[in-house]
Amino acid sequence: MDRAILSPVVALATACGATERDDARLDPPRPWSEASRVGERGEFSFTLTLEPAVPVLHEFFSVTTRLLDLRSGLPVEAADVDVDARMPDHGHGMATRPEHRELGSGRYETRGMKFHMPGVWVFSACARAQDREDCVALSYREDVP
Amino acid sequence: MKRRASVARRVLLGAMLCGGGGCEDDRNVAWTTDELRILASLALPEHADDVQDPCSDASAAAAWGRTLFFDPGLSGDGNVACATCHDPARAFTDGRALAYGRRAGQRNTPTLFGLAAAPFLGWDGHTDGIAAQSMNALLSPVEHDTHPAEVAAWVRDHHREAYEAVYGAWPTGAHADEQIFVHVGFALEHHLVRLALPPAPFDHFVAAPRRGDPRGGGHLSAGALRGLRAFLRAGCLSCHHGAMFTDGEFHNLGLPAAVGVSDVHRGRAEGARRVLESPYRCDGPWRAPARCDALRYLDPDFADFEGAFKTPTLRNVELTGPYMHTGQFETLEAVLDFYRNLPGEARIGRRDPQLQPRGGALPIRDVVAFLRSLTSPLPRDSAEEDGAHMPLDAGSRTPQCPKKPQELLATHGVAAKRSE
Repeated sequence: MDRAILSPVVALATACGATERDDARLDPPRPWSEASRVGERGEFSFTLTLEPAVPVLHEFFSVTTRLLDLRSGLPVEAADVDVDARMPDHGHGMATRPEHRELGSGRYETRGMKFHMPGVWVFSACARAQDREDCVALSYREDVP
Repeated sequence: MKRRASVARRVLLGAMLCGGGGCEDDRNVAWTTDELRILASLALPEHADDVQDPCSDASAAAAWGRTLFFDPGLSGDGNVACATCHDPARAFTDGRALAYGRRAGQRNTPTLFGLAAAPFLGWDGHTDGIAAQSMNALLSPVEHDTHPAEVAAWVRDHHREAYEAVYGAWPTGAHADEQIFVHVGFALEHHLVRLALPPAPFDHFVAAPRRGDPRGGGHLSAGALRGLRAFLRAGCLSCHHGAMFTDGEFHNLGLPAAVGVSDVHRGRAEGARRVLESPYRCDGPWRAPARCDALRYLDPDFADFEGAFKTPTLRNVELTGPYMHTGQFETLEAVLDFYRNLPGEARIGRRDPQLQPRGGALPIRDVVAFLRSLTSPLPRDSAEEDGAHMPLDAGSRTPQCPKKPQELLATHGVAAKRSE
C-alpha cells in the first residue's frame, strides 16, 4: 500500500492525549506521556503510552505499545515486542528486567520499567512479526522529584 | 490534598526568599523557581500524623520490638543488642569506621532513620525489608551470631508473656523456633518503622514563612545558606534528594580502600543475588503475600551494580561518621574533599559517570554548615512514639501485620508440611 495513503491512518492512531507526533522532534529531550513514531525501517508505527503518565524517579511504571502495520494499516498481532530504556550519556540501561505481554488489538504492555537516575533516557521499542522487524528510539528527560 | 499543600509551601518559600530582589543581605538572595521547588521537596512533611500502619495490633508489637531492640540476650554470647551498634544517642550509629558486634565486621553501621521508604536495606541492599534485615543481623556471625532455636529459647524464657500478647498462643511443632524468630524480626520492624525524626533547622527554615517569618526565621547561617546553594548547584541532588536526602539507589563512587578492609567488595552485585536467595525476602515463605515489584523486576546482572553501594541519608549526617560503607572518611570535610577531587579510580567496576570533580563548586566549610542544619534533635530514647514528631518513613511500605501462629503457618503452607 502506498505510504502516502497510510499517513492519515497513522495520524489518526496517534492523535489521542498529550502526544508526541511522528514528525515531532524530541530534541531537547523532555517528559511526555504518549509518543508516536514510524519505525526506522518503515515497517511499523509505534505509539508508546506511559502509565503513570509522568513516571516518578525510582518508581515502577509501565509502557503500552500500540503497533500498526504500515503496509496494511492494521494492528500488528502476535508480535515479539521488546521495550527498554537507556541513558546514553552514562552508558547504562535500567537496573530492572521488565516483563512484556500482549494485550490484544496490536497493544503490548511492558511492566517493571524504572528510572533510577535523573537525566536523559532513551526508550527503544523493537517489534518482530511476520518475518519483519522494526525499531524506534524516543528520548525522555527525567527530573529530580 | 498533598499536592495542594506542596504548592502552598512553594509559594510561601517564594515569598520568604525575596523573589526578584530587595533583600538586605546575602541570606536572602533570590532563588530560582526550580530551586524553590526543590527546597520544598527536601523538607520533611510538616503534618504527617503517624506511620500508616494497617495492623490493628501493631502498637503492641512495636512496644515489644522496642524491648527486643535493647535486649543483648538476642545474641550468641548475650552481650550484643541491636542498640550496641545502633546507639540512639548517635542517631543509631556507633561512631566506628567498621561495626563491631560479636566480631569485627566489614561494614560501617548505618543509621536506622528512614528505613521504611527504601526498597532494599543494607549498604549492598541484601535484604528487602526491615524485618528481613533484622533477622539477617541476628544470624550474622559478626553481628548477633545467634540462630532461630537460640532466639526462640530466649523469648520463651524472658519474653513469653509479651510474645503471646502480640502473636497468640505459644507455637509448637517442627517450625516453631523459626516462626518465633520471624516474629521477633517483625516486632523489631514495627518498632523501627515508628522511629520519629523531629524537624531539623533546615526544615524550620523551609517552614518559616508559614509561621509568619518571611526571612527564614534565622534557622540557617549565612554559611549554611551558601552551602545549601552549592549543594543544589553542584549536582549533589542527583543522588541526595527527597526528604531523606537519598535516592535509595546504588552507586560506585570509586572510593579508596579502607583501613582494615583487605577485600574489594562487589557491593550491590553481591547484595542483589543475596536478596533473591533470602528465605525472608518479600516473596519468600515467611512473608505474607504482597506485591514484590522491586524484587520481581530486579536485574542482578546490572553491570553498574559492581562495586556500588547504597546512597546514605544525609539526615543527622553530622552525627553518623565515619562515612561511607567501610568508614573510609573520618569527617564530613574529608568526604567533601573527596568529591571535590575524585582521586584515583574504581577498584572494581566503574565510577558512576554522574560524578565529576567539583573543585571550588563545593566550598567545604559552607557545605558542612548546611549539612549540620540537617541534624534533628534526637529522641530521648528510641521509644519516642508520641506523634508530635514527624515519622521518618513517609514511604508506602508498612510492616507485615502480626499474625497468630496458626495463621502464619497456614499462609505459607508450613502447616501442610508439618502434617506430612
